[in-house]
Amino acid sequence: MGEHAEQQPDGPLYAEYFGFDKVALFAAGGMPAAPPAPEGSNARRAGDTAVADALSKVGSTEARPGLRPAVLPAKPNLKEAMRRQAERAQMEASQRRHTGASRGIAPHSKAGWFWRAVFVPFYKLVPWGLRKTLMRSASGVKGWSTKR
Amino acid sequence: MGQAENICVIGGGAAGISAASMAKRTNPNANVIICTEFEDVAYSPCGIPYVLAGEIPEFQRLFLAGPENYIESGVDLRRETKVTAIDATNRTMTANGDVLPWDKLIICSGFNYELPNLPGNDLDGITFVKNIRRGIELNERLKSVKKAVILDSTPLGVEMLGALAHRGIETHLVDESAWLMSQVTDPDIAEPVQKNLESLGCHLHFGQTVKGFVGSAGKLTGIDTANGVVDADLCIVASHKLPETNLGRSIGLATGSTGGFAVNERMETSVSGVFAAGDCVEVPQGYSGVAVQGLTGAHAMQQGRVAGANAGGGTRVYNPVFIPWGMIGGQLQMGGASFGEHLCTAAGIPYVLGKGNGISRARYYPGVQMMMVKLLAEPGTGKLIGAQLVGGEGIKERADFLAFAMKKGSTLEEIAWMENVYSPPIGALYEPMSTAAQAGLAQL
Repeated sequence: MGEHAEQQPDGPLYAEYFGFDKVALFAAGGMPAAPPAPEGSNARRAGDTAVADALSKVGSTEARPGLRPAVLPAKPNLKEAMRRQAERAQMEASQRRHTGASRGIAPHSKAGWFWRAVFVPFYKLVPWGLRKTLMRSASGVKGWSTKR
Repeated sequence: MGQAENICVIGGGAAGISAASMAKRTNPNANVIICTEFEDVAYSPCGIPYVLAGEIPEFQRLFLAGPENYIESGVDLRRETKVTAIDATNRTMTANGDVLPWDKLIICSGFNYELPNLPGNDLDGITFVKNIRRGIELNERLKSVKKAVILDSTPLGVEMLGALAHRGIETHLVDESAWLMSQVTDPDIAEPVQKNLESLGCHLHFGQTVKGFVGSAGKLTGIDTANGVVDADLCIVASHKLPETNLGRSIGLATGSTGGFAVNERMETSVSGVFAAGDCVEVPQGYSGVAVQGLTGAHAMQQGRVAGANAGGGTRVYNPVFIPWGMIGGQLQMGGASFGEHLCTAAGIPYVLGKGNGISRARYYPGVQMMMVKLLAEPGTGKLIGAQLVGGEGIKERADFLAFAMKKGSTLEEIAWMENVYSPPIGALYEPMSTAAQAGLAQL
């Protein structure tokens, strides 16, 4: 047990979760995590206000920022749709090829027939030089001079 | 000293705050206004999973400053202020009903999670982790949660997986992919992390599609997958970050293939005087030139700084990205930069691979950890194009270094013969990156 052992927080969870040699909180030679900002400071006031306000709203049904920060994807334009479909098909194909290095689980396939059966094999046949040009131009990035 | 311009910033996240601060610093005469719909600024949203895990004892520790600090620095910070319209012709925007004039506008509108378009997606118990106040509410709710599902092993998903398991909640991951964080990782990098998460009690369901959310009396009771229902009181949706672009699209800002705003290296959009930064923009990856979006908070901050400096009259340039990343998965760390084998295969990029195992400290020093490093290089030239790492410690610094080495065009040869720190408590004699590069040289 190292010299920091006596500083470990009580309770079995920390030791179980991190182990004494793997702690993020008290890494060997490290410092204890910073305490909250001093009483009376702007940061402390902001933190205390946020906590008090949020606790008062637990279980409330009133609308508030960030309650449901999710949207259904908008209908993509042609450029976005092409990229999304091509990327999905290529990623799925690559996962099938590499999954042996993990657990042999196949990804759930969402790529359509055309992308899976036509696009992926065709893309493989395109020479790398042309593929690189296509990839850059299809991506549509403009106005960047600092390229490698 | 610059002109007395009005510079308005939409969004109070990492990009927005850094943009406003930099704009004010570059042009102290400017009237800089930030509008954010949220209640808080200047805290670390990335720390929320660790408070939820109980590793950090209180949410107050995540706050770095208060709104008064911005007022003191001359920035007009308007919280709980939603911008509902922009008029590009008259150069105004409407915020909480007030019409504010702008000479330069910086849009840092961030992201929304992708909501699964499935039956039951409005049930109580389907939850998202984004801003701190809702995180504090979630912390209370978790006290009564027995079983939870995380949807998608994005970085947030993996952090929440460890966090909920740490709290003693029976936690399941449901992911359509074949392995953990397959958007960026290789399976052999993910596997040790997967095993570690399982040893902590996490249940991992890969290759599983979700058919819907199951509920009773409006409350979530389970997730219906192709392999049956996984019971859950709570589901955290950690899906892809969709760029929030509605306001910008309303004034005709061009978007790119990711759906994010297309910007140039000055972070200028297609409309003169309008800049954008953060999760709502796309920028080119350094090697492939392909647009990428939804990067890290560090990327958002630097983009905001560039946008702010240029809006203030400066001449800053943001470079194409090589995307160093790193994170905790259970008790392990994983990370990398740019491409792995899987991403190279998917994009059709030829590569040679150097793979090496090493240790983080001298083998006899307490706390020594194993590490695996994979380096990918361009055939012929040997220029680095990607890296993947997994281990017990020392991942972040190597990911940063390798991304920088890629940016500078470094080769396997250079990494194989690099100088390195050797000091038993902090570094072994043989640097694992160098070992991996030597293995790669044999393949060139």
